Amino acid sequence: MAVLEALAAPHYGYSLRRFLGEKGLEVDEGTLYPLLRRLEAQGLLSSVWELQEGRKRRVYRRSGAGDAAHQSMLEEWQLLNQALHRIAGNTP
Amino acid sequence: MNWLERYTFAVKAHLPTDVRQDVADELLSDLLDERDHRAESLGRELTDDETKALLKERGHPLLVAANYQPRRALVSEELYPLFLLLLRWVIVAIAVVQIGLAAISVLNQPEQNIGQSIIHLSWNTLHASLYGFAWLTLIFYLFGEYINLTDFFKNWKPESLPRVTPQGEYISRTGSAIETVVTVYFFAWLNHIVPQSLFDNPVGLVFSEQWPSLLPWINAVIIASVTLSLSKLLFPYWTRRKIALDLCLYIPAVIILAIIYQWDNAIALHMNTEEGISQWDIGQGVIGPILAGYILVASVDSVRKLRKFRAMKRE
Repeated sequence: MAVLEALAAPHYGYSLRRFLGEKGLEVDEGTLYPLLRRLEAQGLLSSVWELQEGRKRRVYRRSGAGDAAHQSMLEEWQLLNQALHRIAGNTP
Repeated sequence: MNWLERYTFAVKAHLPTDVRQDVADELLSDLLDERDHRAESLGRELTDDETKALLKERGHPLLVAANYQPRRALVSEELYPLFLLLLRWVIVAIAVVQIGLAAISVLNQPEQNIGQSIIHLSWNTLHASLYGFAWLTLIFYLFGEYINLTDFFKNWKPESLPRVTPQGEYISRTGSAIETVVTVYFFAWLNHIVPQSLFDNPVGLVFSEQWPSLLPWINAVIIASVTLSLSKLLFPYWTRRKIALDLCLYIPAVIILAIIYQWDNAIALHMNTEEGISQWDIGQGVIGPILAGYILVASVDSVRKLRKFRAMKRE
């Protein structure tokens, strides 16, 4: 969900990792890159090789299906969050 | 070639062919970005040791490449309990056969060194068990691939649930596992997939010339039995269809045994001794009681299953 959220704007792998790290979510490369490939295989992302600052970089973008999945995850997360708050509120 | 390129090259060697170049290019691009970022923070180029430290943080090339492998286990987690159950019984079945053969060999040659025989037995059991382990792993790997390819679990529908009675009995998984292992082992043994005289053991069986004519029929019955026992293992509850199939299989089995009974000296037990080869014919005197015993067991089991079948019909 965090990756789909971050990909509201296009990112290449390293910039995505840094972006997530700066927001407090450290994801190692061994997890992030295979995850990006899985999400792409599921049609939630698309990627293209682009030349940026003289270097070839694979840039990821959220697809239409990714937008829908992101929205649904966001709603689920909010419901879970509310439920946890209610549980925590009722706990003595 | 610099450190980063050497590292990428090493990772690339372990990547699946279809994504090899793509992943390697992305990895190198990521490493270059990381190196530049660190250099920018330090205000200078990274030293060799600092570059090697960066690579050390990334981990062994084999581990990095493993993250891109589509399936990272020979036996999937869902099938593992079943694999373990069958493996246990494969080893038990192999040990029983090896102990039986060793016992015959020792009884025939009492002057044999017992210590040496035990070492021999242990080695043969280990050797055959590894063989069985390899076959079982291969079968489960292929089964796992089939499950992945067909989305077996995802495509499951509640309509496929069996029609069983509320008091429906479960089939013992241990019983089904033993049945599967023994039947598969017998099939492999009969068709020379595993040696009939089992490695260095001097004990073996010789089949009469009539056997090849009956072998396709025996194989057909065994394959049907294996399919049924696998179905019992995967879906361990009795259904009317399963009972009917189980009972139907007794008919060809009894016919086959009856045909073998009519042959003169259908099988012979042979043994290599220091004096030469000894051979004992297994004729009607042995096959007769086996046939009678089988018919008795089949009859008792059939009565029990027919009762169960009728009870299900009433429901």
